[in-house]
Amino acid sequence: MIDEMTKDGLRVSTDGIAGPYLMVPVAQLDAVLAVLDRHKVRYWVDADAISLDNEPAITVINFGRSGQAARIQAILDEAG
Amino acid sequence: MPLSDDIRGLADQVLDRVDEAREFYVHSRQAWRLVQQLARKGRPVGIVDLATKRHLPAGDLESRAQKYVTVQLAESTFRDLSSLLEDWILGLIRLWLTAYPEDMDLNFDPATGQRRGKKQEEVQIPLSRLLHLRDCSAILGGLIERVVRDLTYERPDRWFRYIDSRLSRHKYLACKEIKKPGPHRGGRAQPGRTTLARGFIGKAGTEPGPNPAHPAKAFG
Repeated sequence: MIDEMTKDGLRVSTDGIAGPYLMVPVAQLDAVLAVLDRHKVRYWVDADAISLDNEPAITVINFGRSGQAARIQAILDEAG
Repeated sequence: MPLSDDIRGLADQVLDRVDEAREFYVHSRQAWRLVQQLARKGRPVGIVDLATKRHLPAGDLESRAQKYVTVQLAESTFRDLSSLLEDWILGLIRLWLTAYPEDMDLNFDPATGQRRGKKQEEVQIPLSRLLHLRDCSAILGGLIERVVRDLTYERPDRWFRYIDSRLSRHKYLACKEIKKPGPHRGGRAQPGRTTLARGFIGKAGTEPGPNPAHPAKAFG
């Protein structure tokens, strides 16, 4: 999937302790969550979104410590 | 002050602190998410150690922010909320025992003023502390503090069992009554607010206790 703001592919970031996460523009959130739901990926979304310099607000999808970054990245890449 | 007012006062105090803890969590999370986005966009962040006049490296702020929000901040907030639960439950026990000190001993029958069984309920209190306390109210207060302090080291399920065993002695607070839907039936619970009907709290302070000389007044 493409990040509509940066026009780059959505990138799953990783942190050894916190687990993988994905920063997404709020406008794309529903579409990304639909893909994740289809693949039964577990996640939770931050309750708020941050907008810098009047750009579209971005929120974070957290996958938790048991989240599999490579699998989630593959799912998003596949979704185009 | 009636027991109901004491309980309401304690509840208000604890709820204020719950609100504070929630605000701290939400604002801290938002602040770290802001930092995370700044770092992700590659914005230069300058942090100067005023003692050494050195620029501190911003380092891997993006992944640190993620860890701080989802691990450290969440865990410390949870610990904070756990201690509030402790303050609320143990505070409630303290208030209850102050109003009904005979509830310290489950085998005590308030109707006869006698013990029901042979099993002794013991609360240990150092003699030096006892000698320092001059009157009955102060001695009871010391005993109650000892009971509450001992409970502090117990598991939370024991706190709830302790409360349940004491409250169930009072027929007007029977569990059946508490389980009935209150005046809020059909309404949604307010986040962070108790759904215990005010009527039940009122009853705790207005109904006559087993001891005619209401100890809460003696301590007032």
